[in-house]
Formats: sequence, C-alpha cells, structure tokens
Amino acid sequence: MSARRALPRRLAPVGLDRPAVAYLILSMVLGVGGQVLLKLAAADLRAVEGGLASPLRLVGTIVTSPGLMGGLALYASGTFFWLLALSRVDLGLLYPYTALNFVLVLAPAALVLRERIGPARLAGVLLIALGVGLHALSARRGAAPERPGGRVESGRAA
Amino acid sequence: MTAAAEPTRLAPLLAVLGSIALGAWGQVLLKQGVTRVGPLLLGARGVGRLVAAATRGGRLLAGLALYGVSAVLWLFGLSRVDLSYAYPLLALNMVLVTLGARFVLGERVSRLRWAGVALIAAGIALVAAS
Repeated sequence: MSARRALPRRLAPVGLDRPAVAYLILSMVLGVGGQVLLKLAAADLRAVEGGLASPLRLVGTIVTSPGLMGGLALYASGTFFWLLALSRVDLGLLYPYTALNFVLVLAPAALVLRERIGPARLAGVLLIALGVGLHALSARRGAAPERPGGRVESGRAA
Repeated sequence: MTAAAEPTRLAPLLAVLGSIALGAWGQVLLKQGVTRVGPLLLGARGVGRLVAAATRGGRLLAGLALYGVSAVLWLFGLSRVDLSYAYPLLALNMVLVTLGARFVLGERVSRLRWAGVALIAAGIALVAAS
C-alpha cells in the first residue's frame, strides 16, 4: 500500500502513483510505436529471396535495416519503462492496463498504416481486450501482496 | 502472384503464431535460467553475472535463442500481414501461459481467469478469420 501515499485524488482509484502512470503511458506509446515502425520497415523483408527458408538472409536484412533496428529499440525502451513502472507497483495492479494496448494499436493501424479494419477484426479485438482485462483482474484478486519489504531496488538512477 | 489468397496468408499466420509460441516457451526457459542465477540487481555486477550465466549455456542461452527466432518470425509475419491482424494474436500468449500453468505446473486457475481465456480465444478466432 505504500504506493498509495501522496496520490492526487483523481488518480487514487487507479492505485498507481504519478511516476508509475507516466512510465506506464510511456511504455504503451513506445511499445505500440515500435510495432508501427517495425510494420513500416518490415516491407524490406518482402524482397528477401527464399523467405523463411533462408533465415540467415532474413537476419542479415533485419540487422542492416535502420527502420527495423529502430523499431526494435523503441520496443525495447517500452519494455524498459514497463519495468520501471513494475518496480513501483504490484504486477496485479499494472497488468490489467495491458488490455488497452490491443485497442490502442488500432489507431495508428488505421490512421498511419491505412489498414482496413472490418467489423470482425474490431469485434475480435474488443473481445480480446475484455478477456485480457478479466484475466488480469483475476490475478489482482487472487494474488497476495508480493512485496513484503517495499519496492525492489532497481538502478533507476542510471 | 496469381496464387489464391489462402496459401499466401497461411505462411505468415503460421509465422506469427510460431513466434508467439516460441516467445512463450523462451520466457519459461529465461525464468528457469535466471532463477538458477539468483536475485539480480541492475548494475555492472548484475549484468556481469547474467552474461557469465548466459555464456555457460543452459536454459538462459536457450531462452535467448528462442527469443531471437521468435523475433525473426514475428518480423517475417509482419512483412506480410496487417499490424491490426498480427498484434491482437499476441494475446494468445496469455492463453498458452494459463494452459501451461494449469497443466504443466499444476497451478490452480480461477473461473474468472478461465472466462478471460475463453474470451481471448474467441477474439483470436475472430481476428484470425478476418
């Protein structure tokens, strides 16, 4: 419960302190942004002869593609901020928010990548988000507080 | 490129699903690997112990290798299908992990969680067919 101290009233029901909210939002934006960049740059892989039958050529194309490496870096930095958020609050509290990613990704998919999202796909995504939310909430309800001695120390100063 | 839509969509779909399954498997191996190393702190010493453990091989290295294969498969799949098609399938990870927790590790799984898994599975089926 120590994470609840000094919360602004508006955020209190969410159970996250302000840095955790900031880290969480950053991790979502960077993670989804990374996937969008990966999708944009993945077009490079279409030209690779043999496709999956020539994995070395695929790897070579990946590591020499600035877009793909940039996308992976964005994605990794998203994971980094996720870990920072995790170091402040329990997983059970944070986990349900991952359901939002599935809905969030639809915006750049439609607006930036110009993908056509039909009713079946939209309904599927909403079911998935609902399911992930339920799944995560069951973790919150079932799990005992996992951090007896305050938060795990991570090299956040770095 | 006159082939029917089905066979051309099947390979990327299998690549995406394979990427997710290998990623989940890699995660299990990584967890087992780092458990053997013991609690780590972010910092030079922690990174050193991690690298030392990984170079000795074993589950840590195997987990990292699976992650690498998983990433290549993901990018290959992404080069051939929509992001709005591939991304929702990532939720399959939660289905696999729940099944693994129940039937491999013998953990108890609550009804609420099974309900979540059922919704996710239904949603994945809808997206995969879209």
